[in-house]
Amino acid sequence: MMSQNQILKLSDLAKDVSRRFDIFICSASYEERCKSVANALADHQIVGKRLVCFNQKSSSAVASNAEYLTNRLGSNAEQVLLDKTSPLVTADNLQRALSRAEGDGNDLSYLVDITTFTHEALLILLRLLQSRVKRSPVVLAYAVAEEYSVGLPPEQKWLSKGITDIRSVLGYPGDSKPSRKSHLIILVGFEFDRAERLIDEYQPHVISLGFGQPGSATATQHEQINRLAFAQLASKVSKYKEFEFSCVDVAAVEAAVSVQASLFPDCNVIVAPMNTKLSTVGVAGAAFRNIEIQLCYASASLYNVEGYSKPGDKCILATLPREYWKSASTIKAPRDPSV
Amino acid sequence: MSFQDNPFGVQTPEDIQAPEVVDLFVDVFSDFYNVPNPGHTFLNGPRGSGKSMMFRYLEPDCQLIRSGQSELRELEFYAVYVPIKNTDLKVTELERLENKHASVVLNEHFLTVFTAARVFASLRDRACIEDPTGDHAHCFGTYLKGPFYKLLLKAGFSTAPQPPSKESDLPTQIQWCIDLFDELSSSVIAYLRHLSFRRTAFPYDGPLCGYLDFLLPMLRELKVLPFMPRGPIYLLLDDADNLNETQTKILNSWVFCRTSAQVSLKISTQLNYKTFRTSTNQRIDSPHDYTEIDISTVYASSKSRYSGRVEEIVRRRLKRHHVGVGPKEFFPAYEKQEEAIKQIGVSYIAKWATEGRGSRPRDDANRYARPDFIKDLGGVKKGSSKYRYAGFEQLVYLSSGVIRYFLEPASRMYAEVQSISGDQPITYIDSAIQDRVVREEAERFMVAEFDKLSEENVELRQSGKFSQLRNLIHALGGAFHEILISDRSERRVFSVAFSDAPDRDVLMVFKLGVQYGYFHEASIGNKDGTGRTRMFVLSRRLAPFFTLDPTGFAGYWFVTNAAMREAIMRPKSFIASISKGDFLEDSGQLVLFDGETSEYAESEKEE
Repeated sequence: MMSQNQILKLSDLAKDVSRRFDIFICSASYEERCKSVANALADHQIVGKRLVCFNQKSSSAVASNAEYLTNRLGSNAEQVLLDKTSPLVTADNLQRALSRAEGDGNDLSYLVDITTFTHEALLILLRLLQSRVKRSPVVLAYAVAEEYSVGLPPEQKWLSKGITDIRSVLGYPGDSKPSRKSHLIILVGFEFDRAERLIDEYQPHVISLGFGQPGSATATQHEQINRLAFAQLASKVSKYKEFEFSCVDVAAVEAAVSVQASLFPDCNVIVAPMNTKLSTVGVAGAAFRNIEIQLCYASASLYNVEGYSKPGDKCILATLPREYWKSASTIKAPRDPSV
Repeated sequence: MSFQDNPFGVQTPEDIQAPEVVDLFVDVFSDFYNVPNPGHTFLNGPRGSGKSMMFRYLEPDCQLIRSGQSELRELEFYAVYVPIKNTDLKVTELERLENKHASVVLNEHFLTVFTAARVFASLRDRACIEDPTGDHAHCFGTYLKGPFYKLLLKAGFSTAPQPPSKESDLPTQIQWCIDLFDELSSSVIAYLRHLSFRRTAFPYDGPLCGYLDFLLPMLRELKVLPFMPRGPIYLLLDDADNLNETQTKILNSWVFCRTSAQVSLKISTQLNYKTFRTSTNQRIDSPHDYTEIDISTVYASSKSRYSGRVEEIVRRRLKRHHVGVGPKEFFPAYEKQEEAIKQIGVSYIAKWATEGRGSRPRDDANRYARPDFIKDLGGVKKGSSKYRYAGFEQLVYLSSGVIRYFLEPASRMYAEVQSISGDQPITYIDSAIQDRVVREEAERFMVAEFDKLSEENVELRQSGKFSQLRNLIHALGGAFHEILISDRSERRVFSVAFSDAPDRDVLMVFKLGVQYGYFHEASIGNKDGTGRTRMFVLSRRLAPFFTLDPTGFAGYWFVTNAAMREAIMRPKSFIASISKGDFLEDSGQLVLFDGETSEYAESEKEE
């Protein structure tokens, strides 16, 4: 499976997107970056229905940015309430909104701005899209940040702190066998303390720590922070297996995670995607084709709302091929007959 | 050897081989005698307090080595380890069933098949059953074809899977059972997968296994097989805080059944157990339904017992690493400091006949020599010298009743020495390194860890409870330091006991501190001698942060609710008041107790 990535200037996005999409989905956040892709597309007739997702239990900046995006995207835009404390509410509202947006349409194309979704909401959305996507393409847009944790030196940078809850991701329950040992695979991002807490909570028999391949970060300046976090985590964990993954290539991430999972075939596999959103998409792909993989999410208790990121001027477009949506088994994510 | 690099490395007990477990485990069951005896037991303690190691030691492979028996049936009980990891059973999809009748039924089935799989995995991995004649296989085959098969049919299998033939060897038959329950667990998850994105009902047509109708009779029949011990089966459910609320209630319903003569439930928690209600909303109570052990409280109330346990644990680890010295030599005290304290003690002994306060010359030396030394450091020599937290005994006190808080700093000290000593064998840890590491640990506990907890608990942070807890700890730590360097007759204080009833807000702040290990809770006789009152003990892990003396005797101090409210709201003015002698009730009320035996028992004697 090959996913195709293009790196574009945001100012060229509308010009370079070669087709029209039936549905555009984005997520409002406290980050200015949540506006980058929508602003680049809003004045062009590239997208049909527009869904603006946002977490209702977040800072006031999220609601006001949702308002901004809804207005900016025009009359075809609809707000979708997500709930970061309840994946069920998030899933149900997303599902309803998708059904409404699809109408009687069949074989629709989707453009999803994944930039500022939470990892959990993004995974749920992907699972919902899996049962909808047919032949038309799904393209993911990711607005690159120029800087994270703005203004702080690398060793002090932080994006979120603390963990309020650890849960399996809805739609990715895995297939754990009680008699087996456990293998926790973490795609390490910037937050080593949250990853450490995950290890402490699971006390897995095998730990695999993945870090972003050199040269694969969404921007080179982020690599140093990732390496620092990885080193801090590695210094606190006595035994672990190390692996590399691409931060931007969905197919390569899937392959890396699948290989790592296969190293311990007699273990229950739990994967915690904590790196880029594009790598999380790759992790979802691995779970689509291996139902034994359980995905877990550690919800943060505090986000760096004031200085999470500074928007860049570039955007990555990833086109997901049809094979991406295939399941390994015949089990397909069922659609709720009531919606 | 699994701890090749560092004798104090912490490893998950589940992964340690039986001979090593037996070699490393220090028998603590005289402190926690309910754990290896029949009866339902809750074993509560923070992470790292040794719960999982106790459970691992109870497993049959370890018990066979411990008892010197060669046959499983000679053991007094059969213990099955059932670890509850975070999202094994707490699958998010189960929330779709909440507030529906099916929730209890399906959760119980899930918990039952999960436990049953662990029972047979234990027979495979931990039971060490030899079967040269094939007799055991034959008996097990009869069990499978007979009572076990009937239970499967009763559980609702339309066509129950056929067990392997009686002629199959024992491992094959046991593996069949493991596969069966693994598969049943998989089926539950497969069903849940259908619920992921569904808000309407989805029929479940699989079998349903419960405790009373399946697991209990299955275990009862298993127990009478000739190779099994005659005693009860223990189900060791480790980290039961990780169950969801419905599963917790179901487990409580199992406890409520009082089947402990045949199946005893040993449930460990990290003090975060969700409820003590059953599925039918009845409350389970101690001691009627279960016995309860709080490891921290037991050890906080008996320093000598705890110290002995730690000494033995460290001795075994050092021996396993061929370090030819004992714990006290490996963690030496700071000789110069100890000598100076000894000299102060000698002078107290010399003047006891004319100025003595204690009943024996040694009492004054024990009580005042170290506080005087600390006080002197804060005086003329301030800034030039610091009290050094070093020596095995001090390190034990600083771990505050939780073995992990000894081993983790010890591991860091060892790693630090290792990094500078190269290939040279390590035979001791310099006192300066000991001091630095425990000071850093105390700082981390009071600052970084506190911040993290505060960040993780948004609601409590927003309601100001974490700020209040920080104030309270600073107020009491600061006050205890002021008392330590005062001229009062009793200077070592680590605890406060209420002389009146604490109000809800004050109590909530203390309880929050208990939940996160900053305080231990206990009770003592009240001032009037008419009943008991609450006592809160500051964690000795914080001693270096507030420059307190963690060793030996420790006193408590009767306080009013109003005084604690002041401490919570205005910690600086509270400490200033303490310096002036306010809030301190007369010395007769500041009662000492002997931490070397049982702090609370002794304190009552002295009252």
